[in-house]
Amino acid sequence: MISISNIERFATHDGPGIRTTIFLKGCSLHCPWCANPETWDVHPVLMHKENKCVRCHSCLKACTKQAISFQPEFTLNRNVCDGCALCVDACLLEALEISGKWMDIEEIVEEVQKDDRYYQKSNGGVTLSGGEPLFQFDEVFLLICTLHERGYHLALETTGNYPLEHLKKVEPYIDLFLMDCKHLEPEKLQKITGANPKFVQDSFTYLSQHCPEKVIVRMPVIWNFNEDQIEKTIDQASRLGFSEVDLLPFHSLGKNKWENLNKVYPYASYPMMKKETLNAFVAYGKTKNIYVKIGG
Amino acid sequence: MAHINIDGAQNVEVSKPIPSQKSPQEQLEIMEAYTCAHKNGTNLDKAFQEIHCLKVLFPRLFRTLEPGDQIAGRLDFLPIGFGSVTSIGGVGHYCVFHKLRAFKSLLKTEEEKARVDALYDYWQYHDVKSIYCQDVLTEDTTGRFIDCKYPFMATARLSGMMLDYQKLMRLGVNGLIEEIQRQDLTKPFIQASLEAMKLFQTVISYQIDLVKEAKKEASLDWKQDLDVMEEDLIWIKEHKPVTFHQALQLFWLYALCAGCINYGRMDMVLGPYLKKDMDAGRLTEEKALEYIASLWKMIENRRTTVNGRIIVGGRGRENVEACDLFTRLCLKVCKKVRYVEPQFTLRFDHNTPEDILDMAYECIASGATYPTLYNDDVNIPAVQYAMRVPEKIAEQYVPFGCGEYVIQGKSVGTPNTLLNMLKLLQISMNEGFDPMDKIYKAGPVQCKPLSELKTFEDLMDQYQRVQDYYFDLSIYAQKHSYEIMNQEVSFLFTSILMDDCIHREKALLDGGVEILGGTNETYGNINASDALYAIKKLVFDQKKYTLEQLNEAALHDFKGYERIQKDLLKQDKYGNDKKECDELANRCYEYVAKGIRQRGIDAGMGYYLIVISNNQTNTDWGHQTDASLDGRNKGVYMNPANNPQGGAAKFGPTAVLNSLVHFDAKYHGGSVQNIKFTPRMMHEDKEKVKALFETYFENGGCQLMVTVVDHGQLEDAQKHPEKYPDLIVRVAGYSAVFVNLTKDIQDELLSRTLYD
Repeated sequence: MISISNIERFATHDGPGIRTTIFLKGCSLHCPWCANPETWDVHPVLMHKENKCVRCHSCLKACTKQAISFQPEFTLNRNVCDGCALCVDACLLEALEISGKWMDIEEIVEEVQKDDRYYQKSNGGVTLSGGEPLFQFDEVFLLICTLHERGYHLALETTGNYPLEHLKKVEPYIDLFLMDCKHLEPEKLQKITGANPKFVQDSFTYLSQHCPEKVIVRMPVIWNFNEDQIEKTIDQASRLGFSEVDLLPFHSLGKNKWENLNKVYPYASYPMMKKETLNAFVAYGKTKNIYVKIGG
Repeated sequence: MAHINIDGAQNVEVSKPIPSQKSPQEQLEIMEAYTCAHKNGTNLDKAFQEIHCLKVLFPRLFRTLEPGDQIAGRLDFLPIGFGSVTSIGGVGHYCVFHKLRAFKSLLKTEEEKARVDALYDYWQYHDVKSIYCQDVLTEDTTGRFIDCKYPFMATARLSGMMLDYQKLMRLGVNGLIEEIQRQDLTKPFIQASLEAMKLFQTVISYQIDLVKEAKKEASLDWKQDLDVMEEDLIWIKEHKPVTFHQALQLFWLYALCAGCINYGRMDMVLGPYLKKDMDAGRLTEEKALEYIASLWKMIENRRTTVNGRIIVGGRGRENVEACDLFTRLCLKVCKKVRYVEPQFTLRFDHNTPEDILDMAYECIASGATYPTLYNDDVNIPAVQYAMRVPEKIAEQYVPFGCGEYVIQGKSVGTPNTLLNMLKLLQISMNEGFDPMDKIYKAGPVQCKPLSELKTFEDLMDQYQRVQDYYFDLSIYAQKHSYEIMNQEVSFLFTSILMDDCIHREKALLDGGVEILGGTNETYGNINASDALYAIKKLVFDQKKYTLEQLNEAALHDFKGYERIQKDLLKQDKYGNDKKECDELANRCYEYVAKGIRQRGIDAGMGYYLIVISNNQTNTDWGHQTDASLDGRNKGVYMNPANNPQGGAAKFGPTAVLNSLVHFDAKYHGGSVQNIKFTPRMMHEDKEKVKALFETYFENGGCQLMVTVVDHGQLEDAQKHPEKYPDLIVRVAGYSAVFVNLTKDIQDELLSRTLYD
């Protein structure tokens, strides 16, 4: 079984054509701007929407694990909560929600194939995203093989943060790598995101040597973190033989999710980044023979 | 039995009509003269009575030209007069009572007001629709359109008449006159038809006078146009048209006289003239665009809200090159002018030139909501089956109004009956009583208490027996509307250009029209099927509740039963590509569609088909419909047309479109689908959206109409209407300026999913 946070149909931002994006749970990184923090934990997680909660205590009464308390706000002991969803069922105001469910490969494929004709018409396919899609490696590898066997164009939106063996194993089945490049400096990358710089570097190097044509570099442009890295990233992509860099301007659309997980969103005070502010880099890319796109 | 008074709104009216140019006193005089002609004609043949009445109206009700007009022909209508449709007046000899009352308030003296009262009293007994309503309306089952207390509404109207304008062009006025003269002139219908054509010539002469009048004050530029108009009017009065402008002018004046507000395949009618003129260098593209834009303006100025169909493209056209030339120019005009009418419609198939499809896409992406798209690859075989006509005939299908099909020049297909499927379900579940008003509405159908319904099939059977009863009422009401209209009028101008009235020497509804069809607008289809699905899951599969428990919760509008409502809402809903749910929706659809269709066949009609269209009746009827077991609260709008209930579709546009194509088009006579995108998506993801549409059509999608709005734009327009004077949205079977809609309709539009 594979833990999924969401399956998004008619996804238009994650690769060519009309796609279905499967958001897989589990990630070893903890980027403070993350738009999908509910995917960090591989297990289903309970999310609580404070603005819908009227403190009726229905959830507390429904919970058989004593994971919920009111102090006086809703408080969840995540070490105890097993995501059984009894509380979700009890809440009439939709203040609680479980993110994540276990699906088997056939179930996932069944969902994916509903849009087969749309993929065919648009040269689209399936994108695996997350979380880090290779976090649940063994099961996801089987999923990748199955989807490949059925002829789907497969894109992998990935951090590269795993042993190289994993990448080597999946590479033949993947048509497009959307490679996350957050920071070129190993120390900063590790400190802020928790990534293992060597894993990431090895992944980039491997893809550069084996299939640079299958790679699009994706750089989330984050306030006070990597704004000064854009040109360097483009340079690096050029050196590695990649042909496209997508700059993803910072957005705070994941803010509610942090709150719903009772986490403090570190970027709460930062504004959305306007696309236009990155336009200059399109021209810069041209000088390096790199196609730079703003947005995914 | 007390005489039924049908005072009240009779049609959806969002666009406000332009007031009459005549003074109230003159209007009163005209209405009195009309009434007098009607009275004097009581003992005459209906065709003579009609022509006498028409002579009161024409040419007197024509207005003067507006500066810049490129074709002549602006026509007022009054609360009393002659017509076909409620959007501009009423049907046959009509009186629109609430408008007559409003008119009365414009008058100053008691004497004048008393004269209006006299008219009101007279028409209560002679208005065609009133006569009809007297026969069919009941206190429990059947209400007039629009009276949403009833599960069934019936009306008399002759909507969607799209005439054989090609014949008009081919023969010209004199040619038509000669054709009529070749028939048996002793027959009143033929004699009156001849007189109608003479009256038409009088109308043309009157336009010549109006043009001359306009010249006196015209700018130099416009004066040149008016010179052309004058010459062309003189020409078409006797001859068949030669130029594009003559053809346009002739068509327009005839449509006005016939009271037609849907026009049909104008590329076939006008395209050849356009091409000939342009090829010969007589007409520049710029001038042609100006003519078409003027036609657009004339149509808009009629303000019918839900009509004004101009249809281009598709199969079954002879001079395709000329037709496509006209199509391209229309697309340019449509993108440039932002009117809610005409309802510009593109028929297409796999052979449609790519550039036309691209232009259509750009037009839609610009936010025009037009063209609406009709897929001939699906619709032609579907119409062939639905209407039981050969392929060549089916190729001439045209959607009118909110989406009902007719065959241009050959069929009547007016939707004179309307059913609320959700109310019928509720009635069947409450022993025949409508929970909204506690009135018994199941007629002779024995509805068992819920406790006796042991299986889901028991429930379905009970529901279907109630439906059957209402289908029977529907076919009677539909047929009877024709009988009454035929008893009172001949629809002379319409008959002359409809196959095969003249040769048969019979008026339209007297055996004249080749295909006498009809349509039944069904509402609440999806709410009903979603409710049934939720019942199936919760009561019969999961056994979580009993039928009585669910019904009890709905009867309390879920107050105190929030858990049940949550469970109901949680069940799969149509529009999410969920197989079992969609299959049940399709089962419901087919039962209704086939049931109605078969009744038409059994009754000897050409066809009688359901249409899953919509104006705003889903909202109006929703207000009068109790809480339902799809989780919908009492009084909330019902689902629009063939689309999911607002907010129910949660898996993106491919899922919605996959659900939509479950319904086989061959059982209905028109079904419309709305979808909403942001401008960002329409522009940045153009290729993907195009692929989405193409795939949907290849999957069997019959129709699509697209609204393009931005996030928050509609919400902002509700707060600051002054900032959005031309924000056009597709309501369902019609487009409207968003801020002109009432708040409840706006809310329904907001509830629909916006894709970005």
